Amino acid sequence: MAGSLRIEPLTPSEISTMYEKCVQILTDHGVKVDHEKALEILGTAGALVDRDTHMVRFSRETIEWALAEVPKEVVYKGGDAKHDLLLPHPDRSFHTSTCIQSMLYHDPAANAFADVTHESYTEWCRLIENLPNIDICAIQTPMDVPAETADVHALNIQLQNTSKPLAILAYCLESVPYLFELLLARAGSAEALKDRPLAAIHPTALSPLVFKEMDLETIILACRYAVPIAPASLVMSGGTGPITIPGTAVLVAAEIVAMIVMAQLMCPGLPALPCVYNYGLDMSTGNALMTSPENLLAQATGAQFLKEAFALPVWVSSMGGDSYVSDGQMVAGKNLQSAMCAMAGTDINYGAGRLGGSNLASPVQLLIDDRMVANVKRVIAGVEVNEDTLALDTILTAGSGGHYLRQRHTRDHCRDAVRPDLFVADPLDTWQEKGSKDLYARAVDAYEEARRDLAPLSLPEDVKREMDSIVKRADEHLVP
Amino acid sequence: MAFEEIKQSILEGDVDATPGLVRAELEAGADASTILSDALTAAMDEAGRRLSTGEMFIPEILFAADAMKAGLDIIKPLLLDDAQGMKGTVVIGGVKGDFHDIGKTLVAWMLEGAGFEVIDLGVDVPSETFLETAREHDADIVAMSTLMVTTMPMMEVNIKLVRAAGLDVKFILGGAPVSQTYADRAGADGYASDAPGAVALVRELMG
Repeated sequence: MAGSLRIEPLTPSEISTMYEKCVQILTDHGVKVDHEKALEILGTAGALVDRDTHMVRFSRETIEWALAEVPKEVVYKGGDAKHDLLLPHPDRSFHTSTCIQSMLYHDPAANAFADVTHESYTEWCRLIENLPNIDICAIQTPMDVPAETADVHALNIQLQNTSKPLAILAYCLESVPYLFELLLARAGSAEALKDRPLAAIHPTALSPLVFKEMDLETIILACRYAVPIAPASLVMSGGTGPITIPGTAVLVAAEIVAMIVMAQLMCPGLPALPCVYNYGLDMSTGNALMTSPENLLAQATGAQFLKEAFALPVWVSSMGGDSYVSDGQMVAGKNLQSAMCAMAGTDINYGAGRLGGSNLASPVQLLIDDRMVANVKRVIAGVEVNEDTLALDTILTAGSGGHYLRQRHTRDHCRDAVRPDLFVADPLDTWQEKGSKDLYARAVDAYEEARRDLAPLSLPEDVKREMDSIVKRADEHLVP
Repeated sequence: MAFEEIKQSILEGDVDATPGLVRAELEAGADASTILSDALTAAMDEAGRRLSTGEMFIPEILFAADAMKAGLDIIKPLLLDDAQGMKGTVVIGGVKGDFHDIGKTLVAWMLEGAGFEVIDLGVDVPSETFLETAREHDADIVAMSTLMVTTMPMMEVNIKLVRAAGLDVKFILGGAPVSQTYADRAGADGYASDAPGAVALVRELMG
């Protein structure tokens, strides 16, 4: 069948039941909101607010009004229209985001981890600009700038080095306004930013069911500047959420829907891209696992639930890993997880470049993931059956014992197959002549080649000066 | 410039257009041997390069070879008049007991495309047939393939048979289980792991 292959961990009846549980959490229990101004706004807008406990509940009518208001189709825009992303993906395929907040990059030359720096993150952004299958550049954490303004420095690096859509988030309450100032400076005006918001910004739940001051400030300013939000839930099954998959999916959805409802109450029509970023807590070690079989299924379940219950584009952490190097475990986990989540309906697969844990990344892994995405996209695209692909004439022409290599049909289709360079196997002798290199070694070579062809964006000098001055001002105001 | 058109036509695998372009060059005064070397062979050299870099795929190479041969058919009579025939003669076949055809045939096609006279004996070829055909056509190269370990020893048998008959011919081997180590042990002159490698090897052995 042509189109995207699908897996459905949940039946329609199960989705309906889970939807009701999700609504029940928000109507009966509510969420805790640690932001006085937000409490005031939400109370005025119709939420049920307890100013003493900071608990906010929403009526079913409010929830369903908000879910009706939020756009079902979004154009996720970066600095250049050629990189605009249609959501949901028009081919029922998916887009790919890099991982977020990394503090350490694996250095292939030293075979060791090193702090992410202004320089290495700059290179990372420029790599993304050139990689064909990486669509979204997520914020990382340069460690050689002041910690208080690392997010501001990072966004400035993103804006000056890639024109692809950005995924950003604030690291502290005080830095939130500076992030929007930077976006405004790069866009040129409030109207220009509204037309081309350059980024989606993550407010993130403090699971379970708490929203920090920083995240509400993010939503308030996103509403003011019409920048899409990407509300994220990082429920950890067994730790900050139920250990069971359906319970995890319900809690994830409740947290995300709460953020969507709050945003719609403040700014009806603001685009929202739900982010399913849950992990599984290993009951033996206490470690958070991304690609355990249980979490693979949990992510796919969350993807299907959010997609089908709320009819919104879904962004899922589906390219993580639990190994700390780019080894077989890493690739096996990423491959399976990204394929499963894509087949469950994910519109954006998140985590390219990620190694194990929450703050390790690798530019070499980023290149491997770039090629892996091409493989997964081809697989989930399914099979097209028509007169041409049935090839009956060609079968009859080749006849018994004939060859197909010399058939026009073969020539016409010989470029259809995806052949990501890092994964294509040479004949044994050729492979040996090239140094008997494994996937990682080939990717290191590709990385060394790719980094020779990197450049900053060509931005007007006055825009760059303005952005640099905002970063400088943030440093002056926020760094003790 | 016109030679470039012929080369482009071949690289695009345009079997219909290539003969007309070659004919036009002859009518414009170009000599056949120059067309052969600077257009036809040059195009296939470029095709081989593109295959090795992944810019062209095997079916495209085969269509290029067909286009090249269509052009070659136009100039062949003139080349013979000038005593400027093909680059050399290659007898090729799958050894006795092996019925795998496609790899061997691919090599045969690519050698033809590269300008060699190729006598393709097919598969399951008896040792005596290799000997008799090589003698009859005064072959420069005998190319043998097999995809089975069980029939690999036939290669060594054939080499010894032909050499014992006193023929001045070189042997090249190929096929999935074959290696350079085996080729050396069997007394062959060369080994190639794929079709472009076989063409390069034949060129090298032909000096």
